[in-house]
Order: sequence, then structure tokens, then C-alpha cells
Amino acid sequence: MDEVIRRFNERGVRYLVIGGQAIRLEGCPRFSMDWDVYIPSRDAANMELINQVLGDELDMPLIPMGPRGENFVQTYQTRWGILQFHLTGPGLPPFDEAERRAIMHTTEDGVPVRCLAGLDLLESKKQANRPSDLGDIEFLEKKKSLGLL
Amino acid sequence: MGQALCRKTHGPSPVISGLLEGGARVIIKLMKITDDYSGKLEIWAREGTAARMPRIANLPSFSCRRFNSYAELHAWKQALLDELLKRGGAQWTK
Repeated sequence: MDEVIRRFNERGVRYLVIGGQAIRLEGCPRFSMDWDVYIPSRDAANMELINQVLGDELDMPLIPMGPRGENFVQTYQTRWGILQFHLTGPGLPPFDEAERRAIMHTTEDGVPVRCLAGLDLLESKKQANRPSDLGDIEFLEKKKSLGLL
Repeated sequence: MGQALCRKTHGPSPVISGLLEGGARVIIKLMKITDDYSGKLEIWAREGTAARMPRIANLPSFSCRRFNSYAELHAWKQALLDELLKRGGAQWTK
């Protein structure tokens, strides 16, 4: 997925990595079968940019969220893995706010990647409240208690 | 016990050993320090570097999916995993 992140960074795409990959980038050795990416829900120009950047990898274009939250998650299988765009989600702050607090991590191959801030990530995991999130919450609480979030 | 217990903490995992009356030796294997989950969490939290994880190499192909609810999303994900299981389970990249 480094190639996608590199393209996003070079072209100025507004994105934040969230979910399991963000937890892994915080330091928790955790498997996730997809990359969850938070993007602004109705920024048509940003979506157009993503459509251009990913080109033929997307079999259908990314589209804005509908008035009643339609299409709030859009999933693609690409040659780099599964990309899941989230236009909203439980516990996620509004995108502009989350973007201001975003933090940069680096992938295992040294590519800078913009991620949801640790405290926002913790809040989103708490709000999602799925059994599979409990380990992530425990890890993030540990980082918080050590003053590392 | 014929002798005081002796605890070794070096080696692959700590053990308690001692002699029973009659000379038989008893060895009890203890949980390794690395099995302390809270300790692991602290190491990972302080280290803060991304570990390389394997990928599923034989994921069934699918076309773009757009979801209107988490119920739809979870049902689709479960169906994808069920399909993977039907095909014999995940094959992992190194």
C-alpha cells in the first residue's frame, strides 16, 4: 500500500489512515486485511483527485456521501490490497478537525503516512465498541497512560 | 520436598525444580516473562514502530462495493471470509 500512500502524498490528497492499520502504525503488531482511509465526505474535488490518482485501479469512481448517509463506506480491491474509504464513522471527529490534529507515522518501508491522532483513534474504537476492538483499546490506553498518545 | 525449591529465570522459560523424598526430581515449567500481555503492550507502546504483517494472498476477487449501513458492511465482510474458508482458508504472503 506504500505506492498508494506515496501517490496521495505527492498529489496532496486529503486522507487519514484509521482503523487496524493506524493501530499497527502506532506500534501494535496487529493484522488487518484492509486499509481504512477517512476522507472528507462531500469534498468532490478531493474525490476527483483520488479517482485520478488511482486511475484504473478503481472499477467504479469514488462518489460523495448521499444526504441520508448513503455510500458512507466504499470498498475497492486493488493490486496493493483492499482500500476502504470511510466518509464518516462512529466516534470520528468531523474531517477538518481530525485533519488539524493528524499525526504522521512511517510505514515499515519508511513512507510517511498521515493518520488519525492517537486520542481520536482511541475514541473511535471506543465508540465502535466491537469485540475485535478491545485489544486495540487496551493498547491505546497503555500508550495514553505512558503519555505517548 | 527434600530440598528448597530453586528458581531459574534464564534459558527459554523459567522453571522451578526440586527433589522429592526418595530423590526423584520434579521440574515445573513457568510462564515465560514474554507471556505477560501487559508487559508486551508496554514494550510495543514504547517502541512505537510498525511491524510488517503478512497479507492474504488468495482473497476472492470482488468489484467495488458501496455501503449504506454497518450491517451491510459486516454482512459483506463475513460473506467474503466465508468464501475464503470454502476455498481452504487464507494463504499468507511472507
